[in-house]
Amino acid sequence: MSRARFVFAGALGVVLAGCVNEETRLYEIELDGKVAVPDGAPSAGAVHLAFHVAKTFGEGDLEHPLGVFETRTVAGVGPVRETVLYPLDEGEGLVVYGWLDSDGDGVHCAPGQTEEPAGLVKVAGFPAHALSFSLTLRAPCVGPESLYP
Amino acid sequence: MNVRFGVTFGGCVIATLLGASEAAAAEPRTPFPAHAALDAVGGSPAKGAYVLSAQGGWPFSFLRAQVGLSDRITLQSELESAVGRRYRPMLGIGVRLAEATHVRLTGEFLAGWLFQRSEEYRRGPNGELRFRLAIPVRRFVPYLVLGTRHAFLPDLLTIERASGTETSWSLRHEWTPWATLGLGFAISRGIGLDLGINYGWVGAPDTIALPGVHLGLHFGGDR
Amino acid sequence: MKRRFGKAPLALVSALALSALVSLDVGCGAPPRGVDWNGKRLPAIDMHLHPGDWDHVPEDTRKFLASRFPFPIGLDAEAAAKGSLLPESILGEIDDAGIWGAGLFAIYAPRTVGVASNELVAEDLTFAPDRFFGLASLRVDRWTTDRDAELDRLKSTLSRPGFVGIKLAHAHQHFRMDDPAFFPIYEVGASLGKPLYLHTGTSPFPGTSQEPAYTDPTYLETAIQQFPAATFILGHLGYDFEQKRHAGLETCIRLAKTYPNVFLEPSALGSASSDPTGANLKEAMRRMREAGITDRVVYGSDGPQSPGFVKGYLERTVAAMKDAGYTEQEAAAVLAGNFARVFGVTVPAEAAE
Repeated sequence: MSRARFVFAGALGVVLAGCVNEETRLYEIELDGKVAVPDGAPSAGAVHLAFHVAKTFGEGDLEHPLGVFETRTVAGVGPVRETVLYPLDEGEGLVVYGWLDSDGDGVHCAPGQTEEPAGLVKVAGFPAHALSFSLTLRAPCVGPESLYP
Repeated sequence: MNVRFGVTFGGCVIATLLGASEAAAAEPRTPFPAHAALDAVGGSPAKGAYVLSAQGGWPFSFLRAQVGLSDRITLQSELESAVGRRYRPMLGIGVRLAEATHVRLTGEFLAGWLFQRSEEYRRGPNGELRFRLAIPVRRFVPYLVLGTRHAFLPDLLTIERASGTETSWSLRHEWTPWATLGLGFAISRGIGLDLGINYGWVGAPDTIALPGVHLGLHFGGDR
Repeated sequence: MKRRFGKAPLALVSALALSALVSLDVGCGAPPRGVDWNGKRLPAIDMHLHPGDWDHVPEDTRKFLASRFPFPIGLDAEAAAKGSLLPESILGEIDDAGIWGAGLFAIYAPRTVGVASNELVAEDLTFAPDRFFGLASLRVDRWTTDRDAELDRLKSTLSRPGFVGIKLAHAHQHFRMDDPAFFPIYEVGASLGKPLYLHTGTSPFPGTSQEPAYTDPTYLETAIQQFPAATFILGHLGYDFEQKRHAGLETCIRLAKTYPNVFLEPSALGSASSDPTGANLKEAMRRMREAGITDRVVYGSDGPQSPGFVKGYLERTVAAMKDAGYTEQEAAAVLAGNFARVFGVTVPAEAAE
């Protein structure tokens, strides 16, 4: 590369770097997990998963636990393999919350339904591109806020 | 706020027109064939002529320079500010599309960069196409400007994968339809004023924008 | 030439000077208090106003709010918001609207709308202690560890002068309406005789929990049944602010008809942005009257939002009531009477004169 080209490329880089509007930094994580229900509990139905940062950044009072960044639905309890993109600038730590859609209505514990269990696990080893977790759905009809911290 | 604005606005208008009427009393007997006010608000000064404009107002203020390269083509540069938080330095050309005794129509194309400092930063390349219609009647020049502005805002996405880091760019588009309705006035051939109402619908059509007003001072001459 | 120029500027100057004078608001004193109802003035209380602090609003929400301000106000949204959230500004807004009293909400929703602390509200209440009424709140985002401390803080705040109720927003604060773990909050309201204002319906703010368990008032029924001594005021009538349509209106009406401890509040849903045609607010006011529950409707706007919003919302609501055929007695109840009864507030005679 000639000196002129080098200078031009550098100048272009400086201009572009100084003119970014939104910069989003994501961190890819391959999650190898297992979703289960306690022995003997009904296990039929899809499982809805929500991936949260464990702690969301914020100044003073604005820092708070949890903050969902991706959701997925898997066919049922059992092994799970999902790739998620973690928002590096939003928080730290990784939490997986899930609930079993026993009646298949897509709503977690609609009025009158009290049997759809939920669970939450803080994934150990974060940050790493490959992580594993084990999630047991045992608490009926609760949101992640009742399970963490 | 409304009261203050009303008084300030009214005061400016009265002061401007009082000054103008005094100037009118002292005007030369021959009308101006072309003057700074017309070149400023109607665009496209003749070959060798130039006009410098300073328009202050709310929310938009402008600094503009135009130089006639030929009888039809003008080089111009412009700096626009919105309440000191949004700036558009621009460079462009104007083309005189039509000229008659009481009509001047100019098309202008400008390109530059947008810098906005607010809760949401907005920066990126920016272009504008606009038309100026001026109807000079002796010292007065009623004028209309219609334009369309487009800014492209680059966003950067970085994904850190096990296999390496990927970066990609995307662009968001900001559209600003623009209209100005105003009245220019020639104090002398080389000095003019204008008063205008601006409506720049920044971020149309998903936003609401308030109209604004400006008062301009123009100096012109030959090189 | 001189002749031609001689009179035109003078005429223009005169016309413009006249228009400048006309633009002066030279009204003598504040507008009269109360709402004009067929020639009679009815007192009005806006139970839903937000004081706050821009620095305690999350970044995404600041951007969202800035984007909702008209250009160029949004360029310096901080200055605009700071101005409108101050107690003196709120007092100015309600004075302009002819409103006598105002409920000031504390809120702890760090993920969505931010934090307006009980301390901030307590300070603001001192600005107009006879006309401002505080609704306290509490953090619920570390409930498993901080529950008892938060409940104690809430009780302590409610014992301070000027605090008349509790403000909760399940969707903004991220807790299920039917989760018994949070029922002790309702118990505090019941035991201290402090009504609970609950946001119902979706919300346009970033980070909101939009799922039914956080927004649909149906999910409150268990708590309403379990705490008959607690007064539940269902804010926004379960409105869907995302789709700009009624979603929980019939549920709210059913709950109010079924349970004597349920009241309804129609704020925000009738704003120009949430109800562009004005039809939804009219429908809500009409349906509540048809259901015979005008003695359960408490007026609120969800201001101050922007200058003039408080006044505009009151005008829209009054117009909707007139459109629906409200009697003077019904309108008086909605505008102030029900608030006074629910919160144990005496409305003075000067509230409407």
